[in-house]
Amino acid sequence: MEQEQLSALMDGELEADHADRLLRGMRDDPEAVAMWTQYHFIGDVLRGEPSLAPTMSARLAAALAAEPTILAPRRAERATNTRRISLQIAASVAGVAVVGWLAFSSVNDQPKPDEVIALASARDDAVRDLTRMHLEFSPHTAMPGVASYIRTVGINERDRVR
Amino acid sequence: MAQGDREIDQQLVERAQKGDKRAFDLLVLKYQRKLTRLLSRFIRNASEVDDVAQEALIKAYRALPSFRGESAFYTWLYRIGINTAKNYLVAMGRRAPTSTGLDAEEAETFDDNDRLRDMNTPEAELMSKQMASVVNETMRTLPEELRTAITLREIEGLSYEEIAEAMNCPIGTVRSRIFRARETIAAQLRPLLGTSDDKRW
Repeated sequence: MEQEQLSALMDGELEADHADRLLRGMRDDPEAVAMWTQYHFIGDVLRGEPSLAPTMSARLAAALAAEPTILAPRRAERATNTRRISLQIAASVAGVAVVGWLAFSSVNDQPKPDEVIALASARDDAVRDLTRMHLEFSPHTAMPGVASYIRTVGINERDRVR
Repeated sequence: MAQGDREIDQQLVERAQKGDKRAFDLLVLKYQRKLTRLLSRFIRNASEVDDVAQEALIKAYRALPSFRGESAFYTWLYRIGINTAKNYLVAMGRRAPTSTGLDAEEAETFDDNDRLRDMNTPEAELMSKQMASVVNETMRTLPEELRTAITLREIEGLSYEEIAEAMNCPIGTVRSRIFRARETIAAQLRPLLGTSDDKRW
């Protein structure tokens, strides 16, 4: 039955909570991952797309495994367009606020990192996790969390492809 | 792109954005063949294509926090692939093709069997040919209702609801037929897998 669920999952035909449970289980289930790949390969062949064998080279697998885990701020689920835009504006405002705060605080006494992080993550606790996870990229300042947050945003902007 | 692809892709993207790396692996396993095929349009040498595909996939992973689902994941991935290929060709002092459709929309539908055949090693070529013919042969032996169900899904891109209507049966039956079709074909493929040093899934 679970295999049938996987098949439905591929087609986007599994209810969200079932899909979630199945995907969580797949993290430690190489057989399920194998099925996923084979089923997709079958689809490619049936559509007449030139078929490369369903493999992931050991080199690619190792390179992906070696990547530091990314962690993006959580987004509002199923936001309508209007809501999404307003959230983006809110995010921009929050960004300006953080920069303003930093500019201001640099000529005053240094705030505790947590205060600034709290401001940055007013909408989202995930930002806090993000800053903590990327501390290794941070230059040595009095505010490691903040510095790495700024760095992360910079990378995103540069790499964004749209 | 069939119906439902965008939904599951978005779900996988969101999981990966929350730190679940395996979810990104599933996207890679789904799209790396198409990406490789796309890149082989611009770069002839097979090992160079592999390098560029790998670079593009790593870039995509790093850029994933900025992906907001405004376009489909595969369109976004193809665009990264195309940019990576362009940069690679520039760095190698070769001119990036300008008239062969360096374009993600077109990339979706291009068909370039010959080029791909050229760049594959004979063993890889034989393997993928063998596997493709196993798929097609097994398809022919499937019971009619399984063959129809998987055809409507994979080739016509219909939703389960639409297939249920077309086949005049409950959605649960559609779901089961599509699964049994896939599993019957996959069972025939499995003996061919696991014969290489590459990780085969």
